[in-house]
Amino acid sequence: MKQKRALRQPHAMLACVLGLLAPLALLLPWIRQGGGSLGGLGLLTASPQVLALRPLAFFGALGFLFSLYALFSKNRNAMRGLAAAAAAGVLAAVYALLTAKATADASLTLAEPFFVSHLGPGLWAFGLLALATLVLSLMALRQPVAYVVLSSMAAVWLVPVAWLLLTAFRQEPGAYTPYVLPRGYTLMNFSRLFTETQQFNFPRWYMNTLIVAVITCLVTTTLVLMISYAFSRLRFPSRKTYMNVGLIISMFPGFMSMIAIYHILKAVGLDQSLVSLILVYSGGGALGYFIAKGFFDTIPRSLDEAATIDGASKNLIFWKIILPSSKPIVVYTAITAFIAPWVDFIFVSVIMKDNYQNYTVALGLFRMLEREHIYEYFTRFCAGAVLVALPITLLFIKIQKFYVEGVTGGAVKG
Amino acid sequence: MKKFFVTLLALALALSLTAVAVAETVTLKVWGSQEDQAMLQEMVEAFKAANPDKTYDITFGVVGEPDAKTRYLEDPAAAADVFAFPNDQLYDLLAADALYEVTRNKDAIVAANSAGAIEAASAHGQLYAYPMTADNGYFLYYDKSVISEEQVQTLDGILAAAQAAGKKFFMDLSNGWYIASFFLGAGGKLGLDENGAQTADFNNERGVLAGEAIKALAAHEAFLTGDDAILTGGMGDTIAAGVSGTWNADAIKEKLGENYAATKLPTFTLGDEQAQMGSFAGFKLVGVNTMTAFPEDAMAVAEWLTNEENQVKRFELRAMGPSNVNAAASEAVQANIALAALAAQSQFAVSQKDVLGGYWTPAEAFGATMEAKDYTKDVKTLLDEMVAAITAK
Amino acid sequence: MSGANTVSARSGKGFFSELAAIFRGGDAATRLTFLVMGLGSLVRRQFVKGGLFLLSQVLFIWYFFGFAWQYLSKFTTLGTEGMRREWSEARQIFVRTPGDNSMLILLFSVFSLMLLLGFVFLWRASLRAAYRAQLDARAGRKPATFQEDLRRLLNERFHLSLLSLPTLMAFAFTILPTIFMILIAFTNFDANHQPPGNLFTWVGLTNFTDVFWKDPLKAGTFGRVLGWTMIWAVIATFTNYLFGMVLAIMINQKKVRLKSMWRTIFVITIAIPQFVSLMLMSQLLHDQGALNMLLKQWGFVSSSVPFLTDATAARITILVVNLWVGIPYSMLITSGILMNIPKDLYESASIDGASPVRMFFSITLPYMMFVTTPYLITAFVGNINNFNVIYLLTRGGPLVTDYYQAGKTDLLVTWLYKLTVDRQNYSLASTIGIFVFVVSAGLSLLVYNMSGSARKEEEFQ
Repeated sequence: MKQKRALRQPHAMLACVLGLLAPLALLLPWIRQGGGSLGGLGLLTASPQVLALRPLAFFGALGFLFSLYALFSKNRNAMRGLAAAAAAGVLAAVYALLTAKATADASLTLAEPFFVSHLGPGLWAFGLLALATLVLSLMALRQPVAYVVLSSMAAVWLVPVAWLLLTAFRQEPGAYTPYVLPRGYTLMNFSRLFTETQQFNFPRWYMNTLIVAVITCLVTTTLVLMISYAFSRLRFPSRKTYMNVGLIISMFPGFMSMIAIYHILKAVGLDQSLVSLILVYSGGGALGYFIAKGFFDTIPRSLDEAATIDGASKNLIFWKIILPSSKPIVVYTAITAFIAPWVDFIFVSVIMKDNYQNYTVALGLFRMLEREHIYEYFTRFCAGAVLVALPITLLFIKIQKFYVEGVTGGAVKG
Repeated sequence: MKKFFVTLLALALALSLTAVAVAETVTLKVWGSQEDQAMLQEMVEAFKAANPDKTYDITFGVVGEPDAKTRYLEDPAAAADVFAFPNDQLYDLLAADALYEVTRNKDAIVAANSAGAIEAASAHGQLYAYPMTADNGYFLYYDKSVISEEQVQTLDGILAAAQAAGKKFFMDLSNGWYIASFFLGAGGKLGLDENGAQTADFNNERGVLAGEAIKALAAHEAFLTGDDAILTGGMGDTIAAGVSGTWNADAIKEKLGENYAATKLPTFTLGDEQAQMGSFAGFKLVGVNTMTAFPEDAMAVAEWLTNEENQVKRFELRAMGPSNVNAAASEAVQANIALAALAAQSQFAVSQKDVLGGYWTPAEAFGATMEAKDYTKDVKTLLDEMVAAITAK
Repeated sequence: MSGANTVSARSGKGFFSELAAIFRGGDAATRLTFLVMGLGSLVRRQFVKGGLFLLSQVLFIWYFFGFAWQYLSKFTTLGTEGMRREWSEARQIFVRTPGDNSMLILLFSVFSLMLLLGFVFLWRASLRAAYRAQLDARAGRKPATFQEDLRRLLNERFHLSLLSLPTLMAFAFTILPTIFMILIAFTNFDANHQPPGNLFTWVGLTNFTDVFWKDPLKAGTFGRVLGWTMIWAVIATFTNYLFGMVLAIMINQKKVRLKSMWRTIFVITIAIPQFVSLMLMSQLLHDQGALNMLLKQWGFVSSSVPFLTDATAARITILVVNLWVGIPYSMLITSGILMNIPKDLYESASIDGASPVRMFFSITLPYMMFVTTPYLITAFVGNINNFNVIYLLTRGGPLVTDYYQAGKTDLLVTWLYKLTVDRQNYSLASTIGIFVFVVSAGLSLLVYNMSGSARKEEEFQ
């Protein structure tokens, strides 16, 4: 049975005290209006509601009760309840803050921002106290405080994603709307990508990209592993010079290089083909070998030496020792290589030129943003982007197992 | 290397074929934007039917007009034999000697198209391309329910009406194309000196007055800037009037419904007078690639694609304004609100041909400075810097 | 270039003295190999090897005179005759006769020169093979069979098998275009010298003097764009790295549950193509965008925040958006490596009673810096060349009138892009490119060779 761990004491006490204090913030002034100000209690009973205070007051009271209970019982469950109530309290405070202006007076146009000129210290005090209670109760429970940071960061990271999804399902066309939430929702943006292929042949481009991405991924990963192994494990003349050249050679910025590459590919008859895309993306990706080389350097040399004594060739060592310990870096390389064809829209336009059938999905999507198309196609553009993001996200979820499984494990100590 | 093989092979073939005379197949490639592909194919089929004595193998590539120059310069040999481009790319294409002069049937083409279109397709006294459309310009869209026909005549009237309704007047001032309408309205000139370098007088006395007018507009409460997306998104909701071109006609019509209206640009207050806002007149042209193996046939196709019949077809299928005089005079074209507004504006428009690539960024910079209400430098200084940058080699 | 060092270092002799030694010591067959590649090997019954050498010589000569010479012969002038234009009364057109194409001459000259260089090394390899076979025969050993050669490629000479394909690809897709671009900086390739209609030619250092001091407008713009590029690259790299690592550490904490869920949340942003997320960001952050709309609705501000239209605000916005874009990447790479830190280091430290913060600074950070120096360099250089974030968010704006074709958030690389695509000023763009290259390459070499990763690569085990 799992051993029951004791609460961390000073933190628990402090959390309870703050949990008791938080609801008292309701006594402070909350809204300034015409010289005077209104306290939280007054606002609570005001009708119609001037501030979205009821959920806030509810969770404050709940926290108060849990604090009392925890203070006397030293019970883990009471502390859990306090943490939950505090978290809800923080959310309720944020909600109250964001809706303050709308509930108070939606048509209010002010010289100064509303929350400077109209908001009293009550809301701030409550929010901060609830946050502190949350942090302390987590500490008391010996739970990572990181949850708080992680959740707020996750929210920030997901907002643009949510926005993308909303737009992908939005009924009204246009890139810009003078309101935030769509007025209607539809699946048509997705279905029309596949049915109306006259102007933008999305399904075909999607397949092109998928083919290019899969092959590029395989080729690049192989190349990167080959190069990194050679530089990390093999010793040969001028290795250093070779590595230095490899390090800097891809650092020349310029767009003429694309035109040069186009002409080279044309000279060997590969222009405007998917093969040329694969070559170009793999060639570019392979130069990112430095990270993998650094990773190989950390795999203990003693393992190789033992194998060499057993008579293994360099080739065998690569397959039997290095490769099995390199899953994280293989996954990293593979993901990076797989993504490249989905996101490049410049190189592919130089290489494909007028060959519409061989476009990739990124170039096709980018075309939807041209001024003649953007109004009609923007929502479909977002739908297309969702369809692009989907396989990559799924791939990552699938592959995380290997990724997290970790690395050399016990073998490290050799 | 492939070229080398092909040359060898071609040589061998040519030698073996000299004895046998075979009817030559004319191989041509035509570029057009994707939405024009079906229409182009139809036109080319009609062309083939009209010329049954020759065998044609005509293929199509998808390159829209805005990309024509870039794609052409990357590899002229692989570019289309016949391609459409906007007239502001003319000088850049000529610098690469990309275009055949229009010499066959020249008089008929000159007579059939509007003088402005012919002028836009000409340089150094030569006609270099076949005018295709005359709709690449801008004018004013407005909401009839907010702005009256009288108010729409002046910028001040529009701003007042919009403000009264709690709405905005939209114009993309941080854009060299649109902002020029003030300087052109004040009589400013963009030209070329004898070396072909850009000249500009937007910093003279009247230019500064135009700059002040821009400053005043940018600072006005009812003024709204942004890209096309803002205009099409907000028209009818938050925007009462906006400056844009025919490519937004459908979207704006949809948003405004029966309040949809369009007209020429208004007058603006220049010092103590009212001056009509000018504009750039843009045309889309069809050119024949100098690298083509069949110049005469390519010219025939280009001429066919831009003849009266096909310009009418372009208008019917894609609502593109014709440069052909007869087509433009047709009742259907006249009844199109956006094209009528463009036509009304065209008498105040100047050709965009003498505007080289160096103009756009500095002009946009001036507009952006005004929009940001950054007044650390006065208008005169900013305009001096702008002109210096425009005319820099 | 690197190939040259590889071989000469092995023999410990110069290129020519080695060849001279082979010539002196060689018998008739070896000496004839100087003219006919593979002969020495063929004589010693190494048929496959010798045959391959011979075949490559035939192919090369055929290529060189069949294809390369037409370009190489014009390399010094980059062509003398542009497209010709003549009036034909019969056809009623100005007949064009194609002339020289300076760009293709330059490109294929470089290509052919590189191929020639490769051929020289192949030629030397055939001489060496011949000489070695001769020595083996004299010593009474059986010359290596083809199978033995192949087997050596999997062990002692494994590096050759591993590196030749990547090297070939690097030459074709990176080195050749780079040399091509570098050479363009010494020409007058711009809108007025545009092939195929016009020729361009060598102009020496004119472009360099123009952009670095002679032309005040360009030089002034260059200096200020460079300044912002450096500030941007330093801040963007370190904020991303640090926050990414902190995020990784937070998720990797033993007690944190649902690790893969947290990671997935952040990785979704990688899955969305950058141009899509950045397009959305610029919509969100626009003066009339959703964020400003919400901020006003919430009462936080009373007029729009100029996120992208005010110079300083735009710079900060870009750095922040770059965090959103970049942190998931650095989280990913650092968490992979964090898990690779030997656990016993932490165990012994915690027995000694070290606090988590101490452990971070005395174990985690040094280890991470050691392993991730290459990543940091790549990230830094990547930020110097961070085209997407800048171009898709602001296009370099807000523009100002006293910059030459550039704006306040332009990096050298976006400026260079505009000069190439909008102005066709290829030579000026290449000049700036060379500068960026020298800076990033110099910095990378310096940091990398001084860093622990390079100096102690043999020790850290």
